[in-house]
Amino acid sequence: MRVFRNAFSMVETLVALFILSLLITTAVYSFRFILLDISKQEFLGIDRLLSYTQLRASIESMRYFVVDDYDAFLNPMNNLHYFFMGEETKMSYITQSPIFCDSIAVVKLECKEQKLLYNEEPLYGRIDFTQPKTLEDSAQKIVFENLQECRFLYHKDGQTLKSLQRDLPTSIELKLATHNQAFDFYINIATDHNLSKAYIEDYAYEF
Amino acid sequence: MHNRSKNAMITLEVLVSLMVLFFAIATSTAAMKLYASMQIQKQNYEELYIATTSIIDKIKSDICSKNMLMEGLYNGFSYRATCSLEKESQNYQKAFDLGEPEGLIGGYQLRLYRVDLSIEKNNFFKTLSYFLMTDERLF
Repeated sequence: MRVFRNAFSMVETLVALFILSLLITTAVYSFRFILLDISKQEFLGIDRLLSYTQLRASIESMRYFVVDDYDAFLNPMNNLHYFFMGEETKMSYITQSPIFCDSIAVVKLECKEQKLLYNEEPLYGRIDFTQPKTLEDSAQKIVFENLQECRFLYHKDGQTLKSLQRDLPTSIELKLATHNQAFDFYINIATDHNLSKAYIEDYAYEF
Repeated sequence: MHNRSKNAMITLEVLVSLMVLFFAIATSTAAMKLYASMQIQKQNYEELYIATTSIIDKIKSDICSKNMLMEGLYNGFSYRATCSLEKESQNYQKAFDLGEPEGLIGGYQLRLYRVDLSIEKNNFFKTLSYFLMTDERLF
């Protein structure tokens, strides 16, 4: 008789098991959410690194490219200069390592609607290569999104500039920030001394 | 009464089942915790990659040529770069005419340095070394 007093009845055990199963279900669901969150972070991390590597390769392989402002009415004299347009929120340049195509391309990077957009158009294709520009239907990639801050800084001859036109910088700083993280990308331009200004201008004038 | 006792579970059985359940939950929690810490470690490496490539580019123009030691803070990482000379030589000068000297007598002094870079953030510490060459015009 004493043995029966120490034991649990079936109903007591079932109730205990029901409460336990509720606890376990809640725990499993929270684990599942944690797992989903982790896998999402993992994907974002890899995607961010890939985007960074592609962007870095594209910027550091920037190329000296001479364009001519010649216009029969507005600029009757030849006016040679390097193709580069850098502002605080956008930048255009010619690169030897584009993301989408395997030849030289004109690239426009733009901070727009909390995103960093990458536009690319092959230089020798459907555009006038003496006045390079990206088109509305050019290949596009969202490099980073949900940005609270996105701006470019240009370093040239020891100075830090907010805009630079018609000359290549020695390095570019890209300042990005999301709601919980801030990143600074510092990228040197790997210029080839054989493609110096004098060399290209001589070459351009020769022909 | 005898039949009722067969349907009931004794305290020991319930305790054993609860212990097994506890171990199962504890093991899965430990596995999740480890997985989460590995994710943090992976995120640290991702941030380290971005920070390191940026720091190397940022100090490139000054390290070894102007400063032998550079320290600072970048993307939340504190870094310290030291520079040590490995080898130096003048560049190769080719003789263009008979009797002209030829050899390592050119107008540039080339120096090969080893840069040791240590980076730290929240007890996450990494070191790496790379070589850097500088040139100085002699005449």
